Parts: sequence; C-alpha cells; structure tokens
Amino acid sequence: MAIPRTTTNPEETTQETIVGPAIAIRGRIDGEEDLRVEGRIEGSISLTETLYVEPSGVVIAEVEARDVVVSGVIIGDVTAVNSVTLNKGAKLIGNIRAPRLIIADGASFRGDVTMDGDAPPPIRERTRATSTVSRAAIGNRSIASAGPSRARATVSGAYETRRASTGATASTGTSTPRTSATATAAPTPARAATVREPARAVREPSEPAPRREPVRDLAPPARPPVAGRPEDDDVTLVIKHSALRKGEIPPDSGDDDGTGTRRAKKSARIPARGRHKAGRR
Amino acid sequence: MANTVIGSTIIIDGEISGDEDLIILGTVKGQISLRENIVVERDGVVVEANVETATITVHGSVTGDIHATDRAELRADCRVVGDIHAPRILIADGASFKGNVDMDG
Amino acid sequence: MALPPSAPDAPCVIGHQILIRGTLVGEEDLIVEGRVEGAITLAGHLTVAQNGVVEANLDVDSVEVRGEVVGDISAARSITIHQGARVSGNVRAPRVIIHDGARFRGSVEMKVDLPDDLAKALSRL
Repeated sequence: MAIPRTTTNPEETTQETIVGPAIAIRGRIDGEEDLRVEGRIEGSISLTETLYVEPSGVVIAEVEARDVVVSGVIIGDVTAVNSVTLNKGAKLIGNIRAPRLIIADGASFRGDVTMDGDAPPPIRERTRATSTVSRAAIGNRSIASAGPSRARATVSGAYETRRASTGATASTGTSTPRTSATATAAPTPARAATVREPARAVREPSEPAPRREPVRDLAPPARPPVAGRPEDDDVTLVIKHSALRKGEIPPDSGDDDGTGTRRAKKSARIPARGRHKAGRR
Repeated sequence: MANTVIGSTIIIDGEISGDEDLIILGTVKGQISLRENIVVERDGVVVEANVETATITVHGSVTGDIHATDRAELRADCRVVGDIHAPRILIADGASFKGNVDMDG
Repeated sequence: MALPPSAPDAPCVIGHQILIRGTLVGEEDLIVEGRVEGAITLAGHLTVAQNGVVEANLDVDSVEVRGEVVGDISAARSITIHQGARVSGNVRAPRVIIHDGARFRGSVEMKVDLPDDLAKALSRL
C-alpha cells in the first residue's frame, strides 16, 4: 500500500509516500509530497515534489515532478521542473526535459534531452491533488504521437476498493470529471499523494506481478485518441520513444510546443568546407 | 603560451589558422596561416599546403609554397618542394630543396 | 585555462589561438583548447578544454568535454560532459556521464539492459 508516513530521515521533515517493493500500481498518481517507489507503477505520475525510484523500483509512466532521482528503472518521458538525476544503476528509456540533468557513471539512458533554459514549466500551484497544469504539454504530445493502438483508457476505480473490478471496467473510458476528482481529493490534504483514479491493479503482494496482461484484459476497446485534449488524462501508458526500436527515425510527433529536441539538419550544424560558421537556426 | 602540437599520428586535412606557435609532428594537408612560428619536425609532413607564417623551421617534409614574413629555415635532412618567399632564408647542408626562392617579398 | 598538466610526453594540443577547419584523424590523445570545425576521428582520448570549441562530428575512443561541442559524438568508451560544458548533438557511447551544471541538448544513446520482463513489455508496446 502506498502509505504516507513521516520519513525516518531526520533531515527531511516532509512526508513522503512509499510504494513498497511488493506493490504494483496501475493508473495515475498525483501528489504534493515526495514519492518513493520501491515497487512498480504503471501509468502516470505527477508530483510537485521529488520522485525517487529506488533500485528495486520500476516506473512505466509519464513522469512529471519537481525533481526526479532514479536508481531503478523508468520507461517513459520524464519532465522535471528542477532536475533529473540518474544514479549508478539507473535505467531510463524515454525523453528527459529538465533544466538540470545529472547522469552518473553506471547509469544507462536512451532518449532525447531538453535542458532549455527557456522558462521551465511553472510549478503548478499547490491546490490539492488536482490534475496538473503542465500535463497538457506532455499528454498532448504523447497522445498525438502515439497512434490509436497505443492510447488506452485507464480503468478507473477507487484505490481502496479492489472489489470494484468489474464495475470499474464498465465505467472506463470516460475519465472522472476533473472537478469531482478535485473535490474528492480535497478533504484529505494530509494524504496529498493520493492515488486517485486508478488502482485496481493493486495486487496481493504475494502474487508475482503479472505484467501487462491484466491491463489488456480490462482495457476497453481503444478509442481513437483525441489529440489536443489536455484533459485527456486517462491515457494510462504511452511510451513514445524513437529509440525503442533501433534505427527508427524519431516520429515527428508534430508537436510544436518547443520540445526542440530534434537536431538541426546536419548541414546546419557542420559548416561547409571553407565556411566559418555553420548556418545554425 | 602553450604551443599547438600536431602529434605524430595526427592527420589534418583542412585549414589551420591562428596566432600561435605550431609544431607539426604529424601530417597536415591544406592551408596553414599563422602569424607566429611553425616547426615541422623530423617526421612531420606538410603536403599540398600553402604556408603563411612569420617563421618556419623545417626538419621534415613540406610540399607547397611557403610565405614567411620573417624567416624560413630548411634544416638538414628536410625535404621541401615548392617556392619560398621570405626575407631571410637558411638552407642547411644536407637539406633537400626544389623550387624557387624569392627574398624580395 | 584550467587545464591539468597533461601527459608527460608532449601531448597533441590545438592551442587556444588556433583554428582548424577540416578533418582531423589520429591515433593519440588530443587536447583542443582552440577551435576545430569539421570532423575529428581519433583512436584516443579527446579533451575539449574549457575554452575549446569543436563544431564537428566526433568519432573517438573517449571524450571529455569542458568547453563546447556542437556535433554528434560517438565514443567507443565513454563521454563525459563536465560542469560548465555545453554539448549540442546526439551522443552515443557505452558510458555517458553528465555532470551537474553541464548544458546538454540532443539525444543520448547508451545500451540499456532491462530486466527480461520489462524488455518484453517494452517490445509489446
């Protein structure tokens, strides 16, 4: 269970949520406190604080946080307002967008990096655990580029009520209206890092996590993704990365929100013989 | 000031310009324009080059025209094929040189 | 120039007043304090010193950047981007180390060995 608890670390006074090693969560996580993942999370994570992925942790998600410190595995795009740190042993496949990126020796990473100083996405206001502001940027991009078969509606359902499995399936596809989600989250500020919609996929710890099959079964027929809908936050898992298949040309996701990770043409970077400057930009 | 050293296994195909001494132990193919001193060491090779410099000292091999504003020295065992323009030219015993000499420029 | 005293046997140095435009091929270590435009292929260690600027594609054994590199970097061993360095280009190496305070723009390609189950999950996506 993801239980908020006060960390034992004396120098940290903030609360943090720990997803233990035997926990798997599928769905969307919003939070305003540190989240430490020792287990497995699939879906998306949006924090105003720091996400720690411990060596045993596996995150298959779009991640958005202030800081991201990875010692385990992340598959998915990572956006950090402040910094992304890949420690020794970290594995990350996905694109990174952060003003500061630290890659330690022994970390492995495949993806694009954008460290533009140009206005990092503003820290969203600390209003309860509502959906994010800047998620629009990520969500859109992913959806737009991900092709219909990749987008999949989340199974919604209360975290605590595992029984709701079948019923929840019925209600999939349409995301809970954001406002109501806000309302539900509001009364529990102490547990800011609420695991809101998702969660059916919490399994008995003893049960070895069956990886992706459950989602398959429960997933409703994929609806055509609606590009450009910021609130379309019920897309569970979109991994958009060109390098997933080696040698494939990065899909032009058509987003012009300034990702800017693509290179200029070669001719624009390497000056012609006898020229002094490359015609950049 | 730190010299620029083109090491013995280095091959440069292109153009070198600058304001600093240059020591060539490797191979340079192309134009060299310096306002300082060039030393082509014993195994250094400069081919197909136009060399513009203040002074040049050749122990190795140069194929191409040399324009020195101050001095050109062709040391023993060097091989130079090309024209030399320099106010002062020194050709040592044992140097091999083929080309024209112009000391008026 | 915050250049550490380098190897005792006269290292190959492109001094900071020097501009080389063209290709540079070699089999020894090279320090660039000046500017190189074109391409560098080096079976050795390349150091781009603090004020060095390389606008070139690099194919090297290993490289350490303290200055600026614009171009793709491919290293057989490692790429280290130090604090204050700026790199714009795609980098590929078994080991890529980016220090805090480095500016990097481009893509990174390292071999990522995922656990089997994750690799499978990934391939199904």
